[in-house]
Amino acid sequence: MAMLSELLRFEVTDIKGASRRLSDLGIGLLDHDYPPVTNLYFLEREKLLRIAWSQVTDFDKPRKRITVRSFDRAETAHDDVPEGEVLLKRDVLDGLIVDLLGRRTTRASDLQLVQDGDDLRLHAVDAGLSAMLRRLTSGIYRGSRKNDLYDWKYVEFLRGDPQAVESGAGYRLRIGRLTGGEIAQIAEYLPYLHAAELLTLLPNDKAAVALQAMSIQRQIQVIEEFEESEAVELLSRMSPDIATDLIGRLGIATMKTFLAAMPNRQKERIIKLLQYPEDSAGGIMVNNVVRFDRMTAVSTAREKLRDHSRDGDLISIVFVTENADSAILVGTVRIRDLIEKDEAEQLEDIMEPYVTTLNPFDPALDAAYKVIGAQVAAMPVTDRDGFLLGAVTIDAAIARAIPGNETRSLKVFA
Amino acid sequence: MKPRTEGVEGLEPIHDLGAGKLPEIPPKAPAGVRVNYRGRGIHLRGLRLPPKGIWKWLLILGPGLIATSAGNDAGGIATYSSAGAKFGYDLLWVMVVLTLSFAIVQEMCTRLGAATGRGLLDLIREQFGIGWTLFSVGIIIIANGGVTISEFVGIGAASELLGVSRYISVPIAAVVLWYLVIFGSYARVEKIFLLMTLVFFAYPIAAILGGPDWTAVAKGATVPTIKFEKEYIFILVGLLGTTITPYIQIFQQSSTVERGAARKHYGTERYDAYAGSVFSNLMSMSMIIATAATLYAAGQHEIGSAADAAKALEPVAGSSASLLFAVGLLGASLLAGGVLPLATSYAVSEAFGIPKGVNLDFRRGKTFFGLFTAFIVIGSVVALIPGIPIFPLLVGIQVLNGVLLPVILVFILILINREKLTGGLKNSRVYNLLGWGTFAIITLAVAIFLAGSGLDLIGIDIFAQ
Repeated sequence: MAMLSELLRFEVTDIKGASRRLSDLGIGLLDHDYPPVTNLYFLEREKLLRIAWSQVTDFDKPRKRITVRSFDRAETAHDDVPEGEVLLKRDVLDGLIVDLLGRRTTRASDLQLVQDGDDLRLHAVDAGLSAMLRRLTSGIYRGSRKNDLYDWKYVEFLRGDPQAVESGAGYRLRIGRLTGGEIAQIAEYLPYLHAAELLTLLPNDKAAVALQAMSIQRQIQVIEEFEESEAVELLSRMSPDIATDLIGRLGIATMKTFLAAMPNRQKERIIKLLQYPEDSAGGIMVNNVVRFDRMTAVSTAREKLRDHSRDGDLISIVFVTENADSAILVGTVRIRDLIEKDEAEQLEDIMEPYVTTLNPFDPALDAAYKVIGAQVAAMPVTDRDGFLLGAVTIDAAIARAIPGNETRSLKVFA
Repeated sequence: MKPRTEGVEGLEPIHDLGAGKLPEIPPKAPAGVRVNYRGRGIHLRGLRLPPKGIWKWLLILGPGLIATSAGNDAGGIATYSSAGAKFGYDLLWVMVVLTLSFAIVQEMCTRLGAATGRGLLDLIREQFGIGWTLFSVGIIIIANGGVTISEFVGIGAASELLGVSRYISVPIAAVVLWYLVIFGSYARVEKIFLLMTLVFFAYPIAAILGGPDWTAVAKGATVPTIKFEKEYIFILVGLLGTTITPYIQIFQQSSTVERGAARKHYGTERYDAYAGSVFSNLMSMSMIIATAATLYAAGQHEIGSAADAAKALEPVAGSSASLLFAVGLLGASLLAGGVLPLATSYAVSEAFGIPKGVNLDFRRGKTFFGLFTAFIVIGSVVALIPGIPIFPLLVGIQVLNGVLLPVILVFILILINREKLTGGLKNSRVYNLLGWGTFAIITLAVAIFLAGSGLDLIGIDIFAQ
C-alpha cells in the first residue's frame, strides 16, 4: 500500500541508471472497481513524458524507487492523455469527490494505492486532516484514520467542467446508481459547474429526473451550461409542469429557441401551461394526463395506459371524457379499479362521476389545499365549458403547501 | 351504468354541470406576454419576466447597499473616526483612491464567484494545492478572528454607552449569537440588527450639520497629503485594511455564489459591486468628515472610547448622540458577530472538504461547529480582558487586516486571470492595470509600515516625529 503523496516523492530509474522524478500517475478509470495505474508521468527538461506501467520492472517502496526498462520507451505527453485516462495528481487530488455511499461530497486530500500482483491499483480516497498533514510534512507525519478513507469503488470524482465528458475525459459513471432525487440533493451542495458536469454523467432520462428534482435556481444555472441540443433533450424528457416553470424563467429569446427545437408534443404541453400565471392552479398543474372516452373498454384502457406510461408521468387516476373528440370531463377512474375490474366493462360503468374540479385561475395555494384536503392523487382542472385541461397532483399540492418551498418540485406520490 | 342519483344531495355528476359556471379569465390575471403561435395570438402568463424600472435597479443595487450597511462595523467606525480626529480631512484623498480600488477588487471577486460558482478558499485549494490553502486559511483565520474580536469589543463598548457593563452584555451576546446561528433562527434576527445599523445614516447628516470647512474637505479629497509619520502610516494601513477587508472579499464572492449568479448572464452583479463600493466609501468619508468637523476642530485628536467617537454625531442628535451611536454600533457588531464566524467556518470547511452547515448533527459537523464556537469564544473572551484599550485595539485589528490584504489580493488577481477557470470573464488589460496597481500601492504602504515598525523595535526610527 502506498499513498499518492508518498509516490510523488519517488524516483523513476531505468536499468541504465538514469533517473527522473515521478510527477503523476495515469489510470484507466473505467477498467475496474479499483483501476490499475496505466502510465507513469515524469518531467524531462521541462517536458512531460509518460511511460507505460507495463515497462515497470521493480517497485521498491522502502527505497522510494520505481524501475522501468528504459526511458527510451517514454513518449511525450504534452497536455494530452490517452482517452479515458485520468491523471491522479492533476485531475483527482484536491478535487471534489462524491461519496456514493454517504451521499455527500468532500475533497480528495490524498489517494491510497495498493499493490495487486504486478499492478498498482487505486483503492481509496483519503479526505481526512491527517492526509493534509502527511502532505504538508512531506511524509514525516505518517498517520492516517480509517474513517477518513472512502472506498474508490463508491466514489465519483468531478472536474468542474461540464464539457469534459464530451471532450473524452474519463469518469467513473457510478453516480447513475443513485436516484434522481439523491443526485439532485448532492448537486445542490456542489458548485453549479460541478452540478452540470454531474448531469452529463447520467443517461438522459435520469438526468432529466435529477434536473427536475433540483431547486429552480439550480435548474436555471445548470441548463444554461448545456449546449442547446442537450438542454432541449432534457427539457423534452422532463415533466411538462416543471419544464414550463424552468423555461418560463429563461427569458423570451431562449424560450423561443428551446421551444422551436422541442418535439411537438412536449412543446404543445408547455405552451398550454405557459398560458397560466405561475401562482394559479393552471400554473402548478400537469397536462400530460391520461384520458379516455366513457365508452372505452377496461381492457383497451389498460393497453393504452401501458403506452402512455412510456411517454411520461403516470398518475394513479385516469380521466374519463364525453367522447374521443371532446375533452369534456365526465368522471375519473382510479388505476387500481382499472386493474381490478372486469375487462369487458366500460369506463362509464366503473368511473366516479362526482368529481371536484379546479378552475385554472384559482390561486395555487387554494388549489393545493383542496387537493390535500380531498386526499386524492390528483384533482382535474377544467375550463368554463368543462373541458379537461390537466390536473393538480398531490405532489404539486404538497410542494406548494410547504411554507417557504417556492422553488422545489415534488414527483413521488401521484 | 351507475345510477346518477346515488350522489349526496346537492352534488351533481360532473357532466350534468352547466357550462359557463366558471369565469374564463379573471380580470386580475396578469396579461403576460402576447405571442403568435400557429397564427393565433396567445398570452403567456406563466413567464417570469425580469423586473423593470425602479424594481430592476433596487434588485440590482439592493444587496450591495445592504452589505454596505453591514460593513460599517466596530473596526471601521473606530478607524474612520480615528482618521478624522487625528488628521482632519488630510486622509480623505486615500478614501477617494480606495473607492476605485475597492470597486475593482469587489467586482473581481463577484466575477470570480459568478464564473466558477466557487468560493475563494475553494478555488485556492483546487488551483494551488494544500500548502497554499493552509497558508491562506491561516491568514483568513487571523484576519477574521481579529475582526470577530473587534465585533465583541464593539458590543461591549455599545452596551457600556447604554449603561450595561460589558461583563454582562458580551457573554450574553456570545451565547445568544451562538444559539441563534446554530439553531437556524439567525437569518430572521439579522434583519433587526441590519435595521439598527441604519442609524449610521446619521453620519452624512452630521457631516453636513457639523459645518465643516468645505474648501478643506475638497482639498483633502483631491490633493494627496503624504506624511512620513508613524501614526499617519499606521492609520493609512488601517484604512486600507478596514475598507478592502479580506473578509469582505471572501464574503462578496460567497454571496455571489449563494445568489446563484452564473457566468452566462454575468452583468448586473457588476453594477451591484460598483454601487456597493462607492456607497460604502461615501459613508466612510462622511464618518471622517463628521469626526474632523467636531473632534479635530475642537482639538480632540485622540479617541480613547466609544463615548469620544459618539461626539461626532452631536450635530444631529445633540445630547442623544451617545444613544444613537450605541444603537448603531450594537446592531453592526451583532450583525457581523454572527455572520463573520459562520462565513469563515463555511469557507474553511469548504476548502478542506469538511462537512459543513448548521443543519448537521454535532457528531458529523464537529469540526465545523468547533470552528464556529472557537471564533465566538475567543472573540468574547478577548473582549472581556480587563483594561483593554478599546479603540486602539479596534484600529490595530484593522491594521492587521491591511497587512494581510496583499496576500489575499494576489490570489484573487492570479485566479481571475486563469482563462481555463474564468473563460470570457477573465480580467481585461485595464482591470489588470488597476488591480495590480492597487496591489502595488497597498503592498508598498504595508512594507513601509512593517519596515518602520521592525526598525523601531531595534531602536531605529525612520519616521518623522
